[in-house]
Formats: sequence, C-alpha cells, structure tokens
Amino acid sequence: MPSSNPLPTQEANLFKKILRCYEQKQYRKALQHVKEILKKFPDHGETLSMKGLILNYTNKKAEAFECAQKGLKNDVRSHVCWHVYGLLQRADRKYDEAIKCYRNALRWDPENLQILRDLSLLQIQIRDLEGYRDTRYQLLQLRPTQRVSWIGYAMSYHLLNDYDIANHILEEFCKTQPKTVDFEMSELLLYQNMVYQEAGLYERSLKHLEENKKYILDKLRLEEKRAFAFIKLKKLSEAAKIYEDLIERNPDNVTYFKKLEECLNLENDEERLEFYKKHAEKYPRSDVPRKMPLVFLNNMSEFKLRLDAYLKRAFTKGIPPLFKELKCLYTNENKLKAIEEKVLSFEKNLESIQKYSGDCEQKESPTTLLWVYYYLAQHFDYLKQTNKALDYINKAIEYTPTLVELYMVKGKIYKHAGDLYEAVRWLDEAQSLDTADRFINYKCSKYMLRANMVKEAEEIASKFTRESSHPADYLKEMQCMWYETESANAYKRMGKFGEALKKCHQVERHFQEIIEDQFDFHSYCMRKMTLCSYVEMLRLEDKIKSHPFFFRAAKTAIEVYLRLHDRPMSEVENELNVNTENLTPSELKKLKNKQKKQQLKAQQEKEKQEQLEQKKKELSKQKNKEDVDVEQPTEEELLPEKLERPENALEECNRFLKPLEEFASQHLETHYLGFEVYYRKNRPLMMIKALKKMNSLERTVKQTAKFHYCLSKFLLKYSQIKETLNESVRAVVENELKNLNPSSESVEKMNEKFFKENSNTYESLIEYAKVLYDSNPSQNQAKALDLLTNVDAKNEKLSISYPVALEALTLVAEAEYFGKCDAKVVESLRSKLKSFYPIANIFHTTEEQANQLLSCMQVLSINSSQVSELTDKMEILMNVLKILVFFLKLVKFSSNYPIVLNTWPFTNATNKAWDILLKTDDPLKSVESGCSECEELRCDGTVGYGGSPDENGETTLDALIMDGRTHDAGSVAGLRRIKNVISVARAVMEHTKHTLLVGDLATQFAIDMGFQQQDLHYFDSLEKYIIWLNNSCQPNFRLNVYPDPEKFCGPYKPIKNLNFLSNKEKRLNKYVSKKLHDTIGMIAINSYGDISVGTSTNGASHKIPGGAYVDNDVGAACGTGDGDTLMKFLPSYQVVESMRRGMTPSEATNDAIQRIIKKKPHFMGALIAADKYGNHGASCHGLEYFEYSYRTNQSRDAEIGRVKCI
Amino acid sequence: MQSIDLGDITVHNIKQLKKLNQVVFPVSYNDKFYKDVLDLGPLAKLAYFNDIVVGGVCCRIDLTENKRRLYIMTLGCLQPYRKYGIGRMLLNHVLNYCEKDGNFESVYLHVQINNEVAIEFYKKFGFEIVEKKEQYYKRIEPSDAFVLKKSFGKK
Repeated sequence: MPSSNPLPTQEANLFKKILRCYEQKQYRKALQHVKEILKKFPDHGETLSMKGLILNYTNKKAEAFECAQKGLKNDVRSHVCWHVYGLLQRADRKYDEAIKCYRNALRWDPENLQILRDLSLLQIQIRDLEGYRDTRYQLLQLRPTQRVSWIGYAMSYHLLNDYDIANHILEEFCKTQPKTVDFEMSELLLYQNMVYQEAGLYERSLKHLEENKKYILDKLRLEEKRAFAFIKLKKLSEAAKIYEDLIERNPDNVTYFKKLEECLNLENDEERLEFYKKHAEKYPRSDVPRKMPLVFLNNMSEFKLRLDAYLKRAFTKGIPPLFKELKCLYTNENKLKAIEEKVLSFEKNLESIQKYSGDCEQKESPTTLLWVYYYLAQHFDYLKQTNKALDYINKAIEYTPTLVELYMVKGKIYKHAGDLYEAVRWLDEAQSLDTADRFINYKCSKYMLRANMVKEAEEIASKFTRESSHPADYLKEMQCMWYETESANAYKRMGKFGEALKKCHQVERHFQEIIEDQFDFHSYCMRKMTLCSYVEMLRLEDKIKSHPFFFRAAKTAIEVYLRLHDRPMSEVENELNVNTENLTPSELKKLKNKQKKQQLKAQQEKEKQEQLEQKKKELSKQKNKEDVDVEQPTEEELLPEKLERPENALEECNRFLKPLEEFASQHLETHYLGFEVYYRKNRPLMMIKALKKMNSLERTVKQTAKFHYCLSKFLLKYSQIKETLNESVRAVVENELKNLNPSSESVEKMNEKFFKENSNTYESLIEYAKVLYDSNPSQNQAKALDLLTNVDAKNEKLSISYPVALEALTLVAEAEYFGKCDAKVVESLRSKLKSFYPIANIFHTTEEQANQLLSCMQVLSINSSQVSELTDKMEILMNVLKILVFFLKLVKFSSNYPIVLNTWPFTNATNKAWDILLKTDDPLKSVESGCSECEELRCDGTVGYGGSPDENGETTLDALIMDGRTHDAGSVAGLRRIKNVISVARAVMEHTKHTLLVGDLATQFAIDMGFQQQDLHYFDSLEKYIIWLNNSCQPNFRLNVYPDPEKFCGPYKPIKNLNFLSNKEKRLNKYVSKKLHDTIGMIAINSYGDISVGTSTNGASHKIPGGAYVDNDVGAACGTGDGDTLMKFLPSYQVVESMRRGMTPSEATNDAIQRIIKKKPHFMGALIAADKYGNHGASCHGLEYFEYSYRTNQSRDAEIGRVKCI
Repeated sequence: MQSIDLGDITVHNIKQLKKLNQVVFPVSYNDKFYKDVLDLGPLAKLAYFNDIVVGGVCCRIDLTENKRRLYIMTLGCLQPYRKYGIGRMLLNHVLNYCEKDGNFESVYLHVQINNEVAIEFYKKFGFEIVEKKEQYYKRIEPSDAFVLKKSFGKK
C-alpha cells in the first residue's frame, strides 16, 4: 500500500492487527493497538483515521470525525484516510460527500476493489446511474471472471433503459455459463427475459422461454410471462390456452379470468355469462366465476337468478366478508334493491321454516340465519339506517352471543353514526372475546384512537407488543404506521399539536429508513441472484412516498402546521387557560399560583425523568461497549414542545408537501394543501400551479367545491396584490386565469353561480359560505353562518355526510373561520347537525360528551385500577373538555357533589339533610334525616303523620330508602301508628332480608325494632275525613265498582265482565293536584360520590311512594306526583338507565316523562334526578311549573330549581 | 353443511364461555369459576358448530365421601343449535374421559327438577335420578334439584 508515511515493521504489524480487530468488531482491542502506535507516532495519519472509524462505531461521533479529519490532514495521500472519511460521511448519510471522498481515495489507489464496491453501492443508492455504470465497468475490468461483475454491468445499462447493450452483455455472459438446473440459473434466465420483455422483444422473449423451459424453475412465472408475450403479439388463442391452464392452477385469481375473457373476445353479456357458467361448473369451489356475472349483468331477471344462487351458497357456507364482496354492486340502485329484497325474504323464510324458500328441499343449519342477520345489519348500516342496522345486529347477538364478528359490526354501526364511545365499547367487547386475534386487537385500538383515547389504545395494542420495551417504542421500532398516523390525528383533535407532529415526523422517518434499508440489498441481491425482485424493489423505492401511509401522515402534518401558522401555540395556550376575564383578582391570584406550582412540579418531574434516562443510557452503553453496532447516525430527538413552536411553520411543511407533489400529484387533496401553504406564503405562481393541477384532475362534488373555494380565494388575493407583482408574473397569472376563469367573472358572481348549481350538497354550501364570508367578512358573517345553520333534516334533497357535518362544526367552532361568533350560533349549529346525526358524540353538549366518555371508560375490559392511569384518563377527559369549552365556550363543567336534592321546595328538609351530610358524609343518614324532617314538619300536609287520610279516615304512611353503595333497599307501605316511617324503611333494609313490609305486619316489625306507637290523627286529618264523607266520598280512587264511586260512598262491590280498554282514561287519578298529593323524594351524594335516595309520603292511596332508584355508578332518581301511574312505568329506574347511556339528568327525566304521557296523557307528576357528578335536573307534566330544592357547597341555603313542565 | 368440533378453553377465549353460560343457564357463575376452568384441561371443552362457539362443558373431579367421582358443573348449548348432537358430543367426551381413566366410581350432576328436556337427555345416556335436593338453588324457582348419576361397573 502506498503511503506517504510508512510505519516500521513492528508498528505495521500492529496496524494490520487493528484492521483485523475492526473487521471482527473487537473495537476495544483495536483501540488498544491504536493507542500503542500513537504512543510512538502521535501524528500517524492512517492510525488516526482508523481510530476515528472505530470511535464512530462506539457511538462517539464528534470525536470520531475529529480523529478522521486529523488523520486526513496528516496524510492526504493515503487512500485509507480518504476511505475512512468517506465511510464516516456515509454513516452520517451525507452521500455526496462520501462519494467525493471515495473518488479521492481511488486517486491514490485506483484499483482498490473494496473502495470501488463501496462507491458503486453509494451510486446505486442515490441513483447516480451513469456513475454506477462507470464504476461497474471498472469492476468488470478488474474482476472479469466474477459473475457479479457481468450482471452488475448489464444491470447498470438496464436501469438506464439501454436494453440493447444490457441484452448483449447478458447474452455474452450466458454463453460462458454452463446450463445447470438450479435456482440461480433460473433467476438469471428470468431476469434476462424481463429485459427482453421490457425492451419490447416479445418474439425473442418467447423463444428464450421455450429454449430454457427446463431450466426455469418458477413455472408460474414462466407461464405468466409466456401468456403476456402472446397477448402482446396478438396471438390470443395461444394466450387463452395458457390462461385456461393458469386458472386450473388457481381458480380464484380474478386477473386470469379477466385476461382470458379478453383473449376470447367475448362479445356480449350472454356470451360472458355462458363463459362464467361453464367455469363455475368446472370449478365448484371457486368464487370468481360466480361473482363476476353479478358485476356485469344488466339484465335484472338474469341477475336475480345468479344472485339467488350466489347468496344461498354464501350464507350456507358462512362467509363473513360477504357484504364486502357485494358492496361493489351497491352503486347500482336496482341491484341494491334486488339484494335487499332477496335477503329479507331469506330472513323471513329462515325464521319461519328454516329454509330459503318454500320450495327448497333442504333445511338450513342454524348458522345460515345468523349470517343473514349479520349481512342485513351491514346492509342497513351502509344505507345509513342506523336503527334498523342495530336491530339486526342485536338480533344476531341474541341468537348467537359468542360470535366475535357481530360485536365488531355493532361497533362499526355506532362509528358510522358518530357515537365513537359506544363504538369503542363494542370493539373492546369483541377484543375481550378473542384476545389472541391480532386483527381485532388492532381494530379495537384504532377505534380508541378515533375516540381520542390514546392511553387506552396503547394499552390494548400492548397486548401484542414485546413486554421488555415500552409499547410506543416497540410500535415505532416495528414501523407501525397506521398506529402513529391515527395517534397523530387523535392528538391533533385534542389540540396537542406537538405530539401530533411528533407522530407525523416519525412516519416520515420510517419512510426515510425504508429508503436507507435498500443499502443492504444492493450487494445481497446481486450475490443471491434474486435479480427480478431486486429491480422491482429499486423501482418501488423510487416512489415509496406515494404510499397512502405517507400521504395520510403528511396531510395531518401539513394541516397542523397550517393551524400553527394561523394561530401559533403561545397564543392558543393563553386562550385555553380558563377564561380569566370572569375571575376576581383573588381567584386569579390563586389560579396563577396553582399554575406556577404545576409548572414547577412538571419541571421537576421532567428533570427527574431526564436523569433517569441518562442513567439508563449510560448503563446500556456500558453493557454494550464491546458489541455496539451503531451504523445509523443518532437522530435528533423529536420534542413535542419544540415541534409545536416552529420558527416558520410554512417552511416545515416542505418536508411533507414536496414528496406529495412529486409522488401523489394525482390526488386533488395534495394540491389543495399546497394551495393553502402557498396562499399563506404569498406565492401567486405556485398558487396558480396548484389550481391548474386541481383543474386538470377529475373531481368529486366535494373536490369541485374545494376547487371553487381555492379559485375564489386566489382571485380575492390577486386583486389585492396585483399591483405589487412584477409585470412578467402578472402576465403569466392573467394568461392562466383565462383558462381557470374563462368568463372572468367577479368572485361574487362566480360564487352565486356556484351556489345555484350546487345548493343541494352541504359540502358545496360550506365552501359557498366560506367564499361569501371572505369576500366581505363584516357584512356577510351572519348570512354565511345562517346558511350553514339553516338546514333541515327532513329535506331529502340535501345530503350531509357525517365527515362533512363534522367539518362544518369544526370550521365554525374550533377554527373560527367565520370570526368569533356568538356561543348561541355555535349551539344552534351543533343542535341542528345533531338532528342529522342524533347519536354522534360530537354534536352533544360538552357535559354530555364527558358523561358518554366516562360511561364508556367504565365498561372497558382493561383494568383501570392504577391511580396514575386514572389521572391519565382525567387528563384525556380534561383535554376533551378544554378544547370543547374553548370552542363552544358554553358550559362550565365540574363535579358538583356533595349535594342534596329534594322534590318540591321543602327547604327545611333539604337544609337538614345537608347539615347531616356535612357532619357525617353519610348519604344514607342524610336522606333519612331529611325525610324525617319532612315527616316531623308535615311538609305540605302530605308527608308524615296526620296527612291524607285513607278511606277509613286513618293516615297510613309509605316510605322507601335505597343505598347506592350496597345497592340495598328497604321500604314500608300502609304503615299505621308509627311516625318515623323513613327510619322504619331503613330498618327493613338493615334488619331484614325483605325489601318491603306492608300494613299491620310492618307496624309490628317497627314496634319490635323499638319504634313508638302513636296516634297519627292530627286535627286537620280528622277534619279532612269528615269533609270527604260529606262530599259523597270525593275524590275517590275506586274504579269499576258499584255504586258509582264518582257519586256515592261505599261499601262497594266489583263490576264483572268489564271492557277494560274503555276505562283507560278513568284509571288516571284525575283528582291529583299539587296540594292533594305530594311525596318527598330525596337524593344525597357525599364527598366520595356515593349516592343514597329516599322517599316518604302518606300518599293518596295505599302504595309505595313515587318510586326511587339509585345506581352508585350512574346516579339516582326519584319521583313525585301520581304514584299509581308512576308505578306502572318504573320511571326512576328508567331515568338512571338513560343516564347510564349518556343522557344528562334533564334529558333522562324528560325522556321518562315523555314515555309516561305517551300512554297516560293526563298524568300529573314530576321526576328529579342527579348523576354521579352531582349534575341534576327535573321534568314534570300536568302542572305549569315544578320546583325542587337542592343544596351544594356553592350556597349557604337551599336553592330552588324551577322547571317548566312539558 | 354442518361440522361440529370440540376445542380447548384458553385464557384467550374464556369470555366466550362466559357469554355462553350467561344465556344458557339461569345461574350465574363467579369469576373464580372461570379462573378455575382454565386449569381443568380436558375436563372443560367448547363445542364449535360451523366454527362458531355454541356449547360447552365444565367438569371437576370430586373426591369427597371417600369416592372418586366426576361432577359435571355445566353442560349446555345455545338455544338455536339444539338437536344437532352438540350436547351428545359434549357428554360423550366426558363419558369417554371417564372410561379412559377407568378409576371413577360414577359421574353425576344437578338438574333443576322442572327441566324435563335435560332429564330425558341424561337418561338416554344411562343416568338415573338418585336424589332430590331441596332448596339447592338460591335465586331461581323451582329451587329444588335432582341429582342424576351414572355409575361405572368397577369401583
């Protein structure tokens, strides 16, 4: 080796040892030898360079570069020093620099094989094809006997599309090769044939294949290539023969069938049908010849015939993806109808006679009906008939609750209707039924991300990640890109833009890694002779960023950057940090202190974590010191805090936008994003370019609207900046505008025209409104908003898809496109959109959404026992809330307990219960004493002793108490002679296994329990009784007896043989009025959120009072009013269950009352309810207003709530 | 087209058994029951009809009263899939297990006294009513149960 600075023998030997150690990756040993040499020759260039190389492998990059540079400076004529420096540059991914270094090295040692090979690898990596060809030529000259030299040289021409030379080289080389039957020969021949076919030499290709038939081992590829060549040569009958054979090999390959059809030149549908019929007979197990006719047949009677056979076969067999198979037919209205009709008739017949139809001989097995239900659920989901779809899927689940797929479809139906939380719930159910199924696991975690449940998604995904590493790290390492993109979208929705960008950048890096990973294949594929695959791989890598994964991540990233450009983070944050305007100075101070503390804490924690990580790193470094193999340069860490505060957000877009423009220019979305970026950059020519691209592409309705928007926006902008542009630019723009806006209308006119033509789709409406606003913000704000809000769910002409509805709300509320607008406007838009998608979470109020989220969390199968996790959930919840509060600016939401709630404005009782609750924190005791207070005070005359006398003039008492903590209840009815009826009810709960004791036995029980017997008559109850007797015993609660109870006093006898229906109305207690008939119902929630409920009355007749129910996980409800009617509806239970399903207390009580008055329109009464967060509400009917009282921490006295009755 | 197979119960599909039992039996079993089922090996099986879980059996070895008996805790099949031989297959599996083992004195189980279909079913396999246990079930009516037993010849 020529070196300007040769070492003496001893050191030269040491140097050789260094090289050997390096090759064997014994870096520490190598470094020892380096040290020995440098002791004597501290400036020896090559040794210094080697030191640099080794240091680079032990992760000391900076030092490595320093050494290598020093080495090079000391010995610029050494190929070793240049080579090493090149290797370092290559490891740092500076390929251009590396190539320069290699070239320098070759100057001093032009025939160094190793350097030439390294150079050729770099050249093919960066696709310097000419350079590659030259290097391969040199390598061939130096090593003409090696196979790789020839093939590499030929391939370099092939990649340059110089087929003649490539073929020539390959032919020459093949002449020298003895023909052998082995894999490598076979691959070489196939590669040679690939070049023939690409060169268009089909005759030669066919001849070549014929000649070498027995040497080509991949028979399938051989036949496919032959068929392809025959088609190209228009020898269709030969090609057809081959495709027949190929179909025999694989009768499920659609392409073969299509090609064969092409070869046979089938004229019309009849011929095609005949063709497929024949093949269906020949291949009884194949699906393709049965399905294809369904796609092309236009003759409906024939279609129905084929469909019938196809469906029967599929349902009997039980093919889960059947719906997916047939979805392609749904674009044809007639076919859709035919399918629906057919499957519905199957359903009917299978249910009744277990056959597809009366004339079928064979009975179907029970699974057939199951698959029919399953299909219908998906069918109606597709048609957006959510309720029908749910009916069918529930039917299926009831029929066979063990089939996992059913729960997935159920979740999907909810997802399509926008109820993301309910969707998560069912996917989680599916996942828990088969925890070994990775597909379901993936689906579940994806659904969670869609509902912004990032932590939960990670936890579910972690069931399939390696235990030793953190799931997020593992998923990153595995380049699990769908997960990262979905996470990014979730973070984006939650306003965590830094986190969102981090995930997008990770995806971008994965693509970079994939491109880097080619490196290993350049030498490997040559050596192993997998040449066709290698060329295909190179071509794939060339356009790898056209992959949908990249597109999705890039789109999200650009959208986030645009948002950060429009409203940078610091500003946004201030807005998020609570509405400070409404706070008093002292409160503000408190808040600020709190924030400071939080910040401090966060900082400390972060430092701690950093220290920990540092330690970990050091530890792992020590461990791996010997064998670290860090070829990749350490990448800059992606820090969310930094990412969300970019110096120039628009410039950051380039990393994502440029590849999209290069590889995904067929997507209109690409140019839409580009337009938005260039618009903000004030680049008219780039905007024009984007518009031109959009104009040249085929557009859907939505895309047409987007194009209209961009064009209008450009025109508006152009009229502003026109004067500032230089003349040539202006000329170009004007020229292009002639094509884009041929009639050169004003924006306003263009917009109106657009509106007239497209007013029946909401997506067009949105863009119209946007342009309207932009053209004159101050004047058109109200009109634009009105346009979006004034849509009617009953208008069948107007279709609003869920994503578009969502877009509208986001636009108005979150992005504030139409400027800041009144909360009422947002609210009315929200509720209007809700009428289109009634169960979509996003169109509910903040409070409702929070409840929906929480109730979803409760049913998830993953354990949420750890406190940290709980706080995480709260964090997610708070984030949801923060954003929503931020854009809806509507509701203040917090937990309101402890709280005491009471039907009717009996404030004394409320205050008593509150005092006890504060003292004891026992909700049961609180309810008991609150009701007792009322019994003692004889609230309203209808609670407690001496109230409403019964027919015998005696006052009897009813009460019920229920403890949410244990879900136990106790009650008494018709209790005589005991005053403290609620306490007796509690005794029933605590000292018996019963829940209800009645009448004298109840009294006896109470006496046993130590209650005092006393006369419950009170002066006015006696008086009342006498008045009642004198009034011919009116009001009267008897029915269907004689003498007529509405006119006379008893004794009465029953009337037999009644037509009960005619009595419907009479059964209502029409005498019930507010004064006559009250019950106290009470709900108490303590500081832990435990709930109790109680109710007490003397009633209007012998019955359990109004009813009360509590579920500690949900909330409680109780009723008052016409208890006899209430009992028939279990409204308290209904209210609690409705709250469980996400209704607010007000909605739930409202709903329950509606259910009652649907059947009993004259009902009088009210319901109150509280959910477990202490939110409360009430509804009533038959009165004008209903008042109830409650007390919380917020007030010093009981407050009165007032609701208007339905 | 019908196929019936038996499959193992694992930690991955145990919840399917739970779903099944919830609809098939009026009694609900606690978490411990399902935890223990995982250790039963061949004494617990799921039945698949056209690859869908529709039935299951869980037994345990009872060593009380100085005897070695097999006790069938649950054996059931979803309603729409009855009369297709699924119960028979499950019970045969249990009986074969006993036969192979050779050391069981008997196999027995409890049936609610009004469950005539079940009683008929077991009688076909040589089970006999040997005892009536009053108040056997706590939360369902009727609360009485028959003990059905099939003895094996040798002791």
